[in-house]
Amino acid sequence: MVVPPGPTPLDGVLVLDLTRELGAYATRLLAGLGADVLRIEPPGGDPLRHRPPFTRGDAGRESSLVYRSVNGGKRTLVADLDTSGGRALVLGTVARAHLLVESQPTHALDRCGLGYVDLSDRNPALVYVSISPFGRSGPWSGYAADDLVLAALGGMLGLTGTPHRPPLVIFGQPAYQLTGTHAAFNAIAALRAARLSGHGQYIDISAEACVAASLDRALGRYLADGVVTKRQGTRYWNGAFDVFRAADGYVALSLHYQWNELVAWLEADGMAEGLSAPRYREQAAREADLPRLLAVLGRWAATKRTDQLFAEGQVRRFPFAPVRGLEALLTNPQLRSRGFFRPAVDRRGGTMEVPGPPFHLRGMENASW
Amino acid sequence: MVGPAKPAATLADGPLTGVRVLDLTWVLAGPYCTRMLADLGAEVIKVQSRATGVREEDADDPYYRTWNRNKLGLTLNLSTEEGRALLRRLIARCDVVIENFSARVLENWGIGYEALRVVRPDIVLLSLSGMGHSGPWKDYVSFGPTLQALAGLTALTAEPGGPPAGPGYPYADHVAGSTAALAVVAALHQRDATGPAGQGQHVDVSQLEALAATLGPALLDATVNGHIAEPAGNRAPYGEAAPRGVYPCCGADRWLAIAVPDDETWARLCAVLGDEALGGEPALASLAGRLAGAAMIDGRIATWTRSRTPEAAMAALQAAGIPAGAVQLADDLVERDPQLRHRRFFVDVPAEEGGSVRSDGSPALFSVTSPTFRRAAPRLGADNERVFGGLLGLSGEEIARLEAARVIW
Repeated sequence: MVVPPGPTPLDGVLVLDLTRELGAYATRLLAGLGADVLRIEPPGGDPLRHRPPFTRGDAGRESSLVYRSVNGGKRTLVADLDTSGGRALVLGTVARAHLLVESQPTHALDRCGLGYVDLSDRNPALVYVSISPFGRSGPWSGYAADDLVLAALGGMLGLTGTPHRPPLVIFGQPAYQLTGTHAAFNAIAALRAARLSGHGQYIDISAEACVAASLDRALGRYLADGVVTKRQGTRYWNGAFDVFRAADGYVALSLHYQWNELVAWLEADGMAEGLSAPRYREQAAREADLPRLLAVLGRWAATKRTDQLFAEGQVRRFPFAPVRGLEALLTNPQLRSRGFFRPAVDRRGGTMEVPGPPFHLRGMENASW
Repeated sequence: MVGPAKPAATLADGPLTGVRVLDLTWVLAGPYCTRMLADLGAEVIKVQSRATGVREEDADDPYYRTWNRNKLGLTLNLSTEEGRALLRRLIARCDVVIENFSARVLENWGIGYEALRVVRPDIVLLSLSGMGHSGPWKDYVSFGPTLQALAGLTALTAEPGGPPAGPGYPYADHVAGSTAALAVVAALHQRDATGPAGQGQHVDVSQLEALAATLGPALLDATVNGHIAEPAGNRAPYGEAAPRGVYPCCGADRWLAIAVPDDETWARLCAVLGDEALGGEPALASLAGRLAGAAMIDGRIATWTRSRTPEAAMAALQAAGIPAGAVQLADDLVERDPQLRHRRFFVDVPAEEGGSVRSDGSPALFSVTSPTFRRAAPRLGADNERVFGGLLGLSGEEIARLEAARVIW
């Protein structure tokens, strides 16, 4: 495909990036949209450069794949913000910057003269985005957190895992990911306000609140009916899906979707047992008899392969899916067909394959991901 | 043809005041995306019909109420030609259209991107489908659990060596919805940055790609090193911190998450635990030693947490600078979390019929153009008159005729 000419979505936007690990994904998204992201790292470099996993055979201090993943597409400069020289470097750039994004410890930037009040004097149109675990004021504003702690306090952990076992965090860094996306969204919205009004502003983003705003029904259910949603293993909170053991691995099956068609399929296989009874056409009757439904579906699934359930399910419009590990994503025909994985140059001049951005806008071919 | 909506003189409703969005989505990635836009002041017009405004999309369902506050409610029967003609007239007055139909539906209705450009040349059309509008799986039916299974999240959200547990709720919808909201504001920025002649575009968001993009480090480890991640439970997936886990506390099903990112934090943890043997053990002073002894360390921490409530243990650990947090459920968040209360995270949104609906607010506080919570979720068709009459200029008789003809329905 010919690369279309034309500017990136955030062409000409200069971002000063003073984030640490929390928040680095926000500026990574902005860089992927074509903003010029200037990342200020402390002397000795971002500690994330020392974070595993590393490129195999190149476990030096520069080969962290976590660092590469959240900092690709940025320019970096080393500056010690505790020295006047380091501060001068930031202050010298502020007048030209549109956005400053930071996730330093609470009050750290205020103390070295780089708080919003100081910088808005120099650049009234500056949008200053402060990302922190809990927000910049309040009883927990000085508290420490990593992704796990944020997922716990934000309410994500309590919805996942098996009863009688500890609640489980979702794989990856789910709190950081949600926070980064929310922060980039709010930052660009504030750029619009700055363009229309001529005035920048200060935005205080709480990672805990980003998690708490992303809990499906948990809050709405409690606020409306006083029901506290809890984890219940592989079965969805509303019983819409569960995970079963198929002949060659696990598979996620919907339990109630297109019920009549599901029963017809089971009948054709001679495995509907009692589920064809008319009373089961009511979801309430099925839910009252859930162990039976799960047992019948389980016996049926065990006779089929996961890819068979997936393919034949899709023909019949069922949202079934094989429970696959990451290796299946690498060869996923849908991702491959859409060019999600793309070639890039590694640190040693060789080629590597990198996962792509979460979406594509015109001109993003000309930005780095 | 009608020009773009004028930017509001003051951004009274938030930074997106003056942006008009036509919302053709339902549960959940789409409404989550349009709620984010509406909270920042965009005028979001949600299109339903008597056929679609049922179950989770029923105005009395808490789910509908949670995700559709701040939106205008319209009914339009899109299976009629007249309904689709009205939709085109509406789109001429909108900046953004967001839809999550399956791949060919808009084309079949004659309101695909090329057709929309005729009525609104700079329209931003965002399609938010499970798989994306191209590729061999473009017509596949999927929900959050489908995508989480395909993306590896169901298998990897599990205890080490254990069977898949998977996210207990559609995390994928929140990832995809917030990603789509980001794509919308970026596309609007791109349109507006080039002045009044700026261009719109069709953004084809694949929820599967949005989810896969969140697994960057693990995918790079796979493509570069050929190393496939295994479930790590609550431990650090790459051994970058230890101990790290969720520990049982005093009370029924009460838990506390603790993470020790470095050697200094470890020393402070041992001091809070009052465990001199643990703190004095040289092998545990380094991360490698703590990884090797993780099971033993977890047992010692659990001994300490078991006699404490998660809140008391969290306060003691945080006082020493140790990352720790209670596993909070909905009632904890709403009734007790002092930090969310300080931020006024829960808001009372006024309802048209009187009273108010309590809801979670915005995770972002703006110093000037604050998000606003203007109105609870609309009843089915609550804004038909306002939109068809006020915006499109239809007369009362015409609206009545269209209602009788089940076009506005």
